Amino acid sequence: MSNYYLNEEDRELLEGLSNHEEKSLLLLYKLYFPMVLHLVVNNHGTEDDAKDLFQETMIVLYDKSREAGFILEAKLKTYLYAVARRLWLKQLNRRNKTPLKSAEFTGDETETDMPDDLHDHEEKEERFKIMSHALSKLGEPCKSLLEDFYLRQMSMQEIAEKFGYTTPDNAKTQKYKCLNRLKKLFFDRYKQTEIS
Amino acid sequence: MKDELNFLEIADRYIDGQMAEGERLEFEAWCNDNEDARKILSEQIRIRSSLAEHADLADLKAKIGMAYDAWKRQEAEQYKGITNQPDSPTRLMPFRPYLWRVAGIAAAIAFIITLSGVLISHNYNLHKLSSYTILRREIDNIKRSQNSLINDIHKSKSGPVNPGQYGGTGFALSNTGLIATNAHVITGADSVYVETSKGEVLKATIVYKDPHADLAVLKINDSSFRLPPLPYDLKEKDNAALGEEVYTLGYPRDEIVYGKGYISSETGYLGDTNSYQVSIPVNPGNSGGPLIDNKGRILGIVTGKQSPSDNIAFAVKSSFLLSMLDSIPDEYNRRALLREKNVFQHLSRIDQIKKLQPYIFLVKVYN
Repeated sequence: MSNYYLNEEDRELLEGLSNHEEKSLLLLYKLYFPMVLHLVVNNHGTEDDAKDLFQETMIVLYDKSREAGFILEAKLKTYLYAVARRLWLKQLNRRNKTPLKSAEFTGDETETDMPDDLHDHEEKEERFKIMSHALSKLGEPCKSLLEDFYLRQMSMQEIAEKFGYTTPDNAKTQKYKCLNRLKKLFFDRYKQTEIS
Repeated sequence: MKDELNFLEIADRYIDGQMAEGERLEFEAWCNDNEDARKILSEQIRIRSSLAEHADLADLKAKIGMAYDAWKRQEAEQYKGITNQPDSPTRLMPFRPYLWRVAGIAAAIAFIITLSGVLISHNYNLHKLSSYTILRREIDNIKRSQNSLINDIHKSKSGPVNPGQYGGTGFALSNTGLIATNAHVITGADSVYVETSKGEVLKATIVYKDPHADLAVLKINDSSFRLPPLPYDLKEKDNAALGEEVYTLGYPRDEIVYGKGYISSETGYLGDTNSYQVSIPVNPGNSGGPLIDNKGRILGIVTGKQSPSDNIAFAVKSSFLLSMLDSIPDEYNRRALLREKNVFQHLSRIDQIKKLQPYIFLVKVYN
């Protein structure tokens, strides 16, 4: 029952990852990238593929580490390997190549709790792409204005000064127009099922 | 357009949790009745959460990219046979988590989902009927536990003649299995077990007991037991203000139960300066649960209530918990206890509670 809880080292790594700490990211590369690199280059992939795959794997782990009451039911290494393998398999299927040599992948205990993680991940990645696209279409100064207000929590007064609007009210109107454009760009491509 | 602009401003304040309770309820009721408002609010929540998520992920991806470059550099240097420390990676601006914004959004989403749930159940009568039943069951429960409280008192007076089972609450003092509870919870115990929010039952030993302060510390016997680092910390000064909002989590039933209230007096039962009086719904079984403020700091430990009155409970102040920590043996790794870092400050209540649950235990006592 005690292996439901992570060992000290894994736990620190995950905490670092959830805080975007460079030190932890580097350590994750040192400890686990060779494993993923090996998996990819032995299965029709290049080092660049491995780089992309590892990034994706880390993001799956990141999302997992941010869940409330998050518990990993396997060693970090086992979990990362299982995620990487699953993602790579998908990638290969998409490219219509031969699937991974099955003999190489036995004894995967984390298999059962995988699909949900990856499903959420794909949705999130899709949202990320659509938002990236929407923001680049939106262009400046709208993009910075919205980010300053909603993410950097700048006041309308500060925003008016930064972008050269005569009054905070003008800045507010501008923000409203920018937001409406962003909504149109984003929701045109992102048709999520309505929640209300 | 002016109307929509104004509404969006209000919606933003709602999403950011900047509304007082009354205004919030009014706003929610209004959205409940107004389909257009609901649609705009829902869109606003989604665009803002996607925007925050995008910024967070973009930052992470950039850092992962840099970590890869750093790794490559180190590999190359090792290959060349250079063993000294590599250059430390370029210092970046410290990441400003957008998390608290996302947390507010999460709470707002929860509301929207509840809202749609309510809207789906069109059959109003049926809805009314079912909540009536639920209420009755709760009353039954309270009756039962009140009876058992009376039984408990009776038993403790006559000594442990009938082997029985008692229950209380405990919360983690360290991530290595030290748990705080009330001394009265474990009085007369032959054996103590704690149950996690996941239903895992673990044997525990009493390592410290102070019946005078009504505090005790348990240690889970399994030495490999580990939790993630504690997300909360202890308030060092007993200066919780009158009227300050507090909440608790505990096990008055087999399921964890949340209770919300406020500090109603700076002294406890009969003017006891070691305790606070708290106006909060508690029931037998809540004893030993943490009393937590809005910032996720532990102000005290729930110990009892003034029966038969409702909503008058007492909690031992946190400074007594702190001095208790100084009295427990060193071997229990005191450094791990209640570290400084409090990660709760910017989380919404709902997220705090989610995060807290693994740290709250059902304490079962057999004698």
